[in-house]
Amino acid sequence: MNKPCVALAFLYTLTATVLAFLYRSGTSLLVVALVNALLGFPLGFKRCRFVFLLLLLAIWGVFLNSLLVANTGEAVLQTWFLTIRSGVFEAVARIGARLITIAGAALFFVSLYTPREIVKGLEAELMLPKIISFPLAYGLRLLPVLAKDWNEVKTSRKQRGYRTVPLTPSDIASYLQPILSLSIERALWTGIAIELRGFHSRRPRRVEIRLSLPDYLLVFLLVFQLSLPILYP
Amino acid sequence: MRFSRLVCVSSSYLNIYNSFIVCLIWVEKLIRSRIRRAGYTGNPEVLKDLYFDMDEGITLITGASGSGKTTFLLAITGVLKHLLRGNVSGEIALDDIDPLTPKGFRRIPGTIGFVLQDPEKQIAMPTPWDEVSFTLENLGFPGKIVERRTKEMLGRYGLLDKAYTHVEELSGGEKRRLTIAAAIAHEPSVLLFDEPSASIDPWGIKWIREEIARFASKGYTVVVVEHKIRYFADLAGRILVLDRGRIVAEYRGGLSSKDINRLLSMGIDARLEISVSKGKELGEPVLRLNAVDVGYRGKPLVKSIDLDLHRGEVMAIIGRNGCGKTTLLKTIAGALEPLAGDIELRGKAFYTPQQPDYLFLKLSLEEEVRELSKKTGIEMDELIKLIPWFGENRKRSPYRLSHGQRKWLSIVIGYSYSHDLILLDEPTTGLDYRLFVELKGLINRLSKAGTAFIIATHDPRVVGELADTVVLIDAGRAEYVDKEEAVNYLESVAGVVA
Repeated sequence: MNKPCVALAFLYTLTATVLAFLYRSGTSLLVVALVNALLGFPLGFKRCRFVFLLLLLAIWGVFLNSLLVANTGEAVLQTWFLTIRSGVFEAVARIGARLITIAGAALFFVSLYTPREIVKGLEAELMLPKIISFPLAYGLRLLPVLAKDWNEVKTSRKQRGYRTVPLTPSDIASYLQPILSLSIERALWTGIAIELRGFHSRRPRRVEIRLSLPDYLLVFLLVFQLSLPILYP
Repeated sequence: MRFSRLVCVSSSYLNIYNSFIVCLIWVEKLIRSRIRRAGYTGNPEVLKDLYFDMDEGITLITGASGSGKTTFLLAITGVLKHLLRGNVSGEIALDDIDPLTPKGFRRIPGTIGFVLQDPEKQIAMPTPWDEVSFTLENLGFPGKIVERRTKEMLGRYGLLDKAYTHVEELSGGEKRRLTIAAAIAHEPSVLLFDEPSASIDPWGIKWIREEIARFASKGYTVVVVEHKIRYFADLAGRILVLDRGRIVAEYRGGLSSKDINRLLSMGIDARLEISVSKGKELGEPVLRLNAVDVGYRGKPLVKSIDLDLHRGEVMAIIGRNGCGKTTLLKTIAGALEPLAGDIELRGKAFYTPQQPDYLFLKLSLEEEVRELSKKTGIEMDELIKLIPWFGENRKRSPYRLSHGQRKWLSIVIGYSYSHDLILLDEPTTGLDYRLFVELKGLINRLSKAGTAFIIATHDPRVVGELADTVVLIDAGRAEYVDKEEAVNYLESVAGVVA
């Protein structure tokens, strides 16, 4: 599939996230939310279903919070124990639109590329320094290892007759001690290994960005969203 | 191939008739070590008076744990001085580069390929492709060459179809192959291997032996640091023995029985053959497996396992990396559900993982033992009797104990929870001969008291000297095999010629 370049998609996502906070006008915000939802949700539906769950939970939380702090204006819905006023719907729509914009833009970015493509793209296209790009790549390498460590500690605690859900500070400490101890040892030897493979001399390799149709479409979308305050003053 | 350079040193002296020019011919070596003293901040004299040269071919450096083998590798590559803030006094030259100067240290990666003991700690990137290209990109190779050579290396090491698979999905042998591919992608002239046989099965050892022999035949200078001599003794042109940071012996052209005895007394497993102990009388049954299938997520790894274990019995489970040994142990311990069949366990079973750190809870050995006593109801004094090195280490964190001590402590923890059955996962990985003998003593002592052991292992020493019965897992089936045959099988698979 022909995809926009990583750097452009990253900048798009970053800008859309900023716009979600900058736009105060209802129409602009709703349009931005709609564009990003259409862009990100279909792509992210298979790979990141948990994001949708989180989004629903967050909007439900916003609704409950609005009932407490923004239940003002005309009565819109009246039940036998509660009157919901227009302020609640406005607050849910505004904050919900922001959350949808952020989730849509993020889903668009993470669903389109593998973690490896993201790290490589950020280093080669955006010229991120190696002290940022390497920890990102190393983090991707370590995540499954940390999950394995966690499960092993869990199994060991269960055998030794301790609860497996860390509740107290002592539980948390006994989970973290072995994981930290092993991580420090791994980091030390990985550090030695990468230095002996020339990491000190590494220079980010610049890759010339050649824009294709998806890139132009993305730029168009970005310009459109940036010009919304002019279209809907 | 490098051309040896002739360096002429002239000196003149008088005799009764004339003055002569004496030409001393000195063939330059790829590695020259004139280390007077090297060590760490708290221990400045780990190495002392290490004067020797190495040229093309294989040099095996051996020594007991703590003899300074790894420190030597770190010293000659400049890591000790520049990264670990250690001290190195003397002169070192690695292919004409002085790694002790900052400029020289920066040039070292282009000259050497370093393969660490544990592939888990060497692999830095999420996929095999990234791991190999990382070396080449660091060293400034042009993009097209990076791509071509990465593809070549992954193809040569059988990893091309897994180029973009996450490294955690690779087997232990594949990870070892990846570390070597990444270490030699830039075609260095010197290759350094730190305990290459650790953490791999005999099949992996055979492969690595063949690779090392191939490197030597191509003219590389290969340094292998290893305490299990028999895996590389026949390949090495020279064996250097380190003891307390000094070279105490050098052998060329094989080892005599006198040499072997001397090395054994230093804690180095120099035996060319593994001895096989006689079986002992066993107690009543403690575990029975009837047609058990083990595996993950409904997919069986090993099918129809039938096993009987008795009190005091030590059973070794052998087989390739990833064949299902650990899964079987975890299933017996109750951490995983069997996919089919029945497990009859009379008493308790305790699983001690390959990485003992997972079991520890406290920040000092004393606290750990106190907590153990509190939880299991065993008197603290009784537990301390099982840990002969408790006194001098009581205030140390269990995570800072030596590798052998941590393994020891994990067995004591297992024993405190279950006097019936202890399941050990690779308990002898990385242990030298002396530590192995000590650990064997502990296991024998506990088994004589009636505790049964199942040990998942690749180590022929465990099979020959500790086990009463041996089970081989191969192609998804588990079957009893004769102990002597099992030792010969593991040694022949590893390609070791007695």
